[in-house]
Amino acid sequence: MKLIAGVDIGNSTTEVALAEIDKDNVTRFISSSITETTGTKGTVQNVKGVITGLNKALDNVGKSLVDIDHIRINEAAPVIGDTAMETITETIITESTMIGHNPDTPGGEGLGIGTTISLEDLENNIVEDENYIVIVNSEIDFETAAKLINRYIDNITGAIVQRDEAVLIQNRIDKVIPIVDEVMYIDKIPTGMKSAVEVGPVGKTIKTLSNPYGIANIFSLTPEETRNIIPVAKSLVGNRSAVVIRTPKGDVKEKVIPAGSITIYGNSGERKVVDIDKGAEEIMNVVNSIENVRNIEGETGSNVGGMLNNMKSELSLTTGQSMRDIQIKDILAIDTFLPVTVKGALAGEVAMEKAVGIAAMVQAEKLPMEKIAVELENKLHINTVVAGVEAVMATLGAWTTPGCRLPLAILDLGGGSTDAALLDEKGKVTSTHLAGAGGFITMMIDSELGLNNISLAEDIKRYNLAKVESLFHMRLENGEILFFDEPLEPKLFGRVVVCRDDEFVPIESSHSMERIVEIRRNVKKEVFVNNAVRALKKIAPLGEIRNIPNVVMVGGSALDFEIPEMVMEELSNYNIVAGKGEIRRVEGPRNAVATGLVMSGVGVL
Amino acid sequence: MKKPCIVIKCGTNYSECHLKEIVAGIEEEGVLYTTIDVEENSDPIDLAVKAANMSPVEVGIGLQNNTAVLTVVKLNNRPLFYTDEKYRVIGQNAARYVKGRPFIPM
Repeated sequence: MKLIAGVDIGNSTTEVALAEIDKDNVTRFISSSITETTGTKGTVQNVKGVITGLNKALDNVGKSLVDIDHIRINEAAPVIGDTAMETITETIITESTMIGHNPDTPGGEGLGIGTTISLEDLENNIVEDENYIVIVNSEIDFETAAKLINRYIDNITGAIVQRDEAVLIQNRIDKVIPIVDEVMYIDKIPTGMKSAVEVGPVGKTIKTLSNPYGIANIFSLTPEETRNIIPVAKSLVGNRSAVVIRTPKGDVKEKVIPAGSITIYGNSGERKVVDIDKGAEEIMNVVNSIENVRNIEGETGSNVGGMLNNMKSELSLTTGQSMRDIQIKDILAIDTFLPVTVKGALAGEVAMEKAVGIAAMVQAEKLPMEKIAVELENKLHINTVVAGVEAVMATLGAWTTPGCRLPLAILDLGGGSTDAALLDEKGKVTSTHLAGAGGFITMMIDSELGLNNISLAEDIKRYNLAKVESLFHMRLENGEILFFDEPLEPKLFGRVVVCRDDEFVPIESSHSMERIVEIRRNVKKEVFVNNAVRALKKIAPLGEIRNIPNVVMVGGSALDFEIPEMVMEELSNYNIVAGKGEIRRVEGPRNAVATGLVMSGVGVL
Repeated sequence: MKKPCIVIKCGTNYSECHLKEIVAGIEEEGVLYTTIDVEENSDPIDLAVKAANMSPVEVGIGLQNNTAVLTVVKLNNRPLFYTDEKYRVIGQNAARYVKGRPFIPM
């Protein structure tokens, strides 16, 4: 009887499978484990994680390191994935033209048009029959403001207030006028200019200032000027309140930022250039039009160019190969909108800017896995070999899933890349690695919600959401209600929270639960459904997906609560049986490579 | 029928300007309130609990000796927030509890 260990060192996790093999080559799997990978995949730092993983698996069955006869580690795919975001539009306000502002509690309602004037100056400068929009700075309290406004109420058509006191002022004046409050930089608002303030009725949004012709009507704009005002109107859509001020030189520009370009080189000498600001669809069309990508380069100075270079240098450090021998093999681009604070804004207004998220995958010749094997053997005095290519081992392991047959394809939905491999009836394995996986989803969620908090974005990706509706209950995203005996923390009250296993994490953004769920699901689909189809096309016999009868999903993202279902739904269109792996009937979608490593060792000892 | 208002109970020793700030906070959020002066020298927590029990929306504020306490019936006499400086914010938070909106950090 021999004890054999298969060890799969991945980008984020290290997995172990332990099996006993008797003299008749009958294999019995007795234990497995999963731990975090220590250091970058393919470096000797991994040894620490491997030993932890081995001990964990051994502890389960009351054995120790000395009992192991043979260790087999994976010939890890030498790929690294990374992501970057390139914003391609920018909204700039010059001379404070617009306040696309949405305070929680504006006052009054309606549309007011008039000349801006500070409330203190009104007394000395008022012109009869003239209409005014008064500016109330934080030095004036609501009672004084209301008194002054009432004195000149016939001339005042609206108000812009610095403090959060719009309702308080409205309740104390004799006429209903639109009042916008919480305007942080109120001193920057120009006076003596024609302006319009609009507040929608409770539960409704503004109608006039979000319409380009509405603005044109108020300010008597020419067709050319109306064209220029579109970014203003666009950014006000959906608000309950807004202010638009027209200054002679004032301007709001939606500028396209030069985001650089990507050059794609094919194996048969093709060379295609695409501008990033053309958007994801165009980029992917160009990438997919080249069958065998040799290398991809990003323009220096752009975010994408910087990312591609960083990835190359990281892999070059790991493998000891020169930068020139390391190539970007694939990219995945997704269009998105990012909430970006408007330059020159007066109340922290945010505009949704167009952006393209890009994931890339870099590939080297080989990772120095031999070094890890030598190091392990020196440390543990156990015979250790690097056994077989990762993709082959993964298909071998996946084949233990009941109900599948050859040719069998696996989709490895990982953290850094989406990998696919096909094992045909003759035992031949074809494999591919594509950019874009779990890490890309996290980045897209983070930027689309404007969180600037990667670990929160990771939580949003991995767990369901709930809306805390009282101190004692919350509504889960599927509509169920969860009650509590003890009161929830006040910081959770009224918020959308992530339901982690151990705690509830509040999301401090104004997005509704439904919107966050929609963003999460869309990003998952864009990444993995797209990639599943792209990857299977590359490995399918004759490039036709329908030639693959069954697909087994493995890897960390196959554990996700909704990704496997999304992929399954898409692949059912091609008449493919697809589902999460059930490795050795007990491991779920985990442990495929480690299992394959053990299986490939049967008969070798 | 009783109006859905927050009840504020003020003890024998409180400052009018603090009360003004509290009700301004509630008013800005668009919620109803009623104030009651009591000839009791009890502490603000007691006042808040009694106020909450009188309130149709089960939210009460007690004000005494420069301290304002916010509680709700469901919390079983425990204060939700208390303050001796941010009177406007505690008023807003009382209203936000009624509306089910996130609190302003105190």
